[in-house]
Amino acid sequence: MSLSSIRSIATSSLTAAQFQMSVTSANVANADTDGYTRKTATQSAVVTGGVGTGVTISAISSDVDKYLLKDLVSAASEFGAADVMAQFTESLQALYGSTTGSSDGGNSLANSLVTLESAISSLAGTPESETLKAQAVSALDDVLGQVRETASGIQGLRADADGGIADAVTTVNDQLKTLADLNAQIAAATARGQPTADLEDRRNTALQAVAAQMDVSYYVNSDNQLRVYTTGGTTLLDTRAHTLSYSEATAVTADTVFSGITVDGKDITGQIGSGTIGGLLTLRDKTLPDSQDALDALAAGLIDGLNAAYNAGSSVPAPASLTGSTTVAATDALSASGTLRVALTDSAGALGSYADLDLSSYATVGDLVFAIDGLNGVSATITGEGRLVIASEDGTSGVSLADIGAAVGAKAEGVSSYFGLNDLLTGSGASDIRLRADILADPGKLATGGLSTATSLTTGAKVIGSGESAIAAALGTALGEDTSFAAAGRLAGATESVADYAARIVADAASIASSASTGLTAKETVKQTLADQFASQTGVNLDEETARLSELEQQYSTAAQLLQVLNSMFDALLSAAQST
Amino acid sequence: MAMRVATFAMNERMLSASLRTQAKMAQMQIQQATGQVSTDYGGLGAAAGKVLDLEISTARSKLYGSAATEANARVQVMVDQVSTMTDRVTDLRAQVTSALSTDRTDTSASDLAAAASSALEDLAGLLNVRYEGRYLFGGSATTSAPVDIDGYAPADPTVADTSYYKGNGTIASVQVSADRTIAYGVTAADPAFERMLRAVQALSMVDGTTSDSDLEAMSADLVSALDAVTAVQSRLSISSAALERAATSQQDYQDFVANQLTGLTGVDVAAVTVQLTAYETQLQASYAAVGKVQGLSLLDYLR
Repeated sequence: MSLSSIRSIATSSLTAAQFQMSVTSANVANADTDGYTRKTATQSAVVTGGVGTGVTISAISSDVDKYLLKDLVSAASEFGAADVMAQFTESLQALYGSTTGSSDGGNSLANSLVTLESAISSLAGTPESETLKAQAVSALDDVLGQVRETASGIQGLRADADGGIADAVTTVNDQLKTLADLNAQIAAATARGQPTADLEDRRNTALQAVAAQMDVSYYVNSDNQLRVYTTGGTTLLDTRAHTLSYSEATAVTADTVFSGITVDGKDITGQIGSGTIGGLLTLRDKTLPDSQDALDALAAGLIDGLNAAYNAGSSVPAPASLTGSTTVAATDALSASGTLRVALTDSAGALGSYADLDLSSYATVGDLVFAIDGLNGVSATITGEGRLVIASEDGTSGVSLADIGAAVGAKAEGVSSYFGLNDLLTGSGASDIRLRADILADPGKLATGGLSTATSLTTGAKVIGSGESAIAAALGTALGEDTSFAAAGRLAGATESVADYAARIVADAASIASSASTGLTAKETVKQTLADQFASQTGVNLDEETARLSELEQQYSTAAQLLQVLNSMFDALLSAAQST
Repeated sequence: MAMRVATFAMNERMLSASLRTQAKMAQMQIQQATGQVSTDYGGLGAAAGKVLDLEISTARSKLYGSAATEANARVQVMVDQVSTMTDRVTDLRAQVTSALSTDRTDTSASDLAAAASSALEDLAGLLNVRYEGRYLFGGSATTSAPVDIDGYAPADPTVADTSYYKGNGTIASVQVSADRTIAYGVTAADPAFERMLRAVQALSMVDGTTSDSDLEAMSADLVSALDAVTAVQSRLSISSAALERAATSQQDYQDFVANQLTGLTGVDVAAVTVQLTAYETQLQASYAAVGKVQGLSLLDYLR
């Protein structure tokens, strides 16, 4: 041993203390940095020939529990899915209206339908009132408007979800590229013998960002390289990033077919079950379409029910021609029984002429059309588009039809209803359900009664009247009575009134939103607990670092003291040498 | 080693806990201000379906109630008219009775005939009553007068003749609950009115040649017509009572449902106020804790 070895030991101590201080300062400086973990420098004794010759810093490491990290990554996916689910279902339930909380009800679809029932019922009580007709028409138009708006709102949410998927795909791609870069930097640093703990922190942060968007599986290989796969095993990151591609739909309707999310040409949409993308996929392809299906079932119930009831009616004055909405061909077989009455009336509803046709004597639609066409003053044709048109030949009389025990086709409906000659509503689903334009423009045309079905009619007598309430009452019945709804979306099939069905749709949306919100709280708690645990294990504690700093300060000053002692020893040695 | 605590993570956690308490307080304050658990259905959670059902039930009940009330108003008008008719016919019958007890002259006979003609016009007027713009005694032909006595002259006074009637045979009905429809009202072609008009019309044809026995027969006709019309009146009264009961029972139902709805959607203000105080204390405590943690630093002790 020599004085110089003492100096080298003291110097190595000073260097080590400085290095430790720099690690501690970095810890303090990054105490609040996202994803930063506390670093510790590992120092070891330098031994030469069995004798201690100083100290050296062998590594900088952080204490990351890889199993806890794994849990945290998967919790991030679950949370991402629950988060978008809660956001979108909240918007969905808001689409269906809100409650006033009082017995006046709210403005939900179900409440609007009851308002309509009320307007129709008032009209049935006083069918001649133009005001009540206008009110009924406006209530009906309100309901249909609300159905259409809700349907377009749902499709809007689907478009938002689709846009969200495209954004999330971009985020995933960015993070995958970052991960690939970090893998390369870690490999290079390892080759240079430099510490990689900080790079690993950044890699873990990027990994969690990917996991928040989609559920992935990953592992770190023996070369400290991260490998990321979809849960279905498709490679997302090996030596390079395999980015996702997705093209957002330009316009979203109930019929839109979305493209898949692909990696290297392979569709991985089905492999994503969680994360923001997973949640958005569920919303776009399941939750929201389910709601739309239920709304379509509601619209179909309204269209069928109201049209069947309204077709038996006739406005005063009766229109000069009736055009069918159903497509038929002359050769179509006609299975019908009962009697069809065709009448021509003047502008006040007084009878010009009429004829009763025995429906059972016609085998095809063409036969019936031919028979109607044969009536005096009436023409009947099937247009090129396959629609039946019945018109008065003089163009001034009105044509009206009445079913006397008529049952046509599989649904045993009336003739007018079968051909759709006097439909109240048009459209086929929630997105295109509309009130007939001429009635909307002139509510007075809303028929409340129909052509008289009395055994015989007298020419000149009023056979259709505005004081008749039969059709208004039938419309009310169609709304209030039990209609059979097939299972649609999340709703089981049921036989109930339209308003009750609407109430179920609204309640279902509310319950989805409420359970999504509960689900979000649960996932948030899990994620937060894991994140807290992770932070407790790896985070920076300022007090701890302060204590450490103070300890290092002492170590440094002690090592400096050692150098001072060494200097004194040299001085003593020199003065001893000079004195000789 | 005891569990380490990362300084910033802990601060953040304490802060988010305080914020959660604050959010809960905000929600309760809104509940306190609005008196409502939530203004959207989502916020009602599992109760949403029930609230909707109750809202719909209430709206339907109001619909039935108002329909019954409106129909009842019409029936009341009809009862009044019929009551005036019986008064008018009773007066006429008194005149017939007095005519029978005295020696008749051409003048007194023509007086009686004139009184009967005027009564006939009155009766037609009463049957042509309009209420809220609609004729009440014409069935569903509510836009034109149901009775026209111009030229009404039955060939045989003993045979029913409704040629004065211009309305139709539809009796109005009103739905007063999901399963109950009450038919109400009567048309001017009702046999009671027909008999009354026929008897009064016959009386308006009286002249000096009419015998006492004929006049007695007419008087008897008047009495039986009066009985029939009174029966119609009581029938109307029964409908009226039924409609009133229906309206009342709907009102009772609405009160009950409104109560239930308030239970589901309303908040107990006293309970919320107490809870709010508790949360306030908690929030103050958590702020104090945050302050304490922020103030504690080893740095302060190492100088």
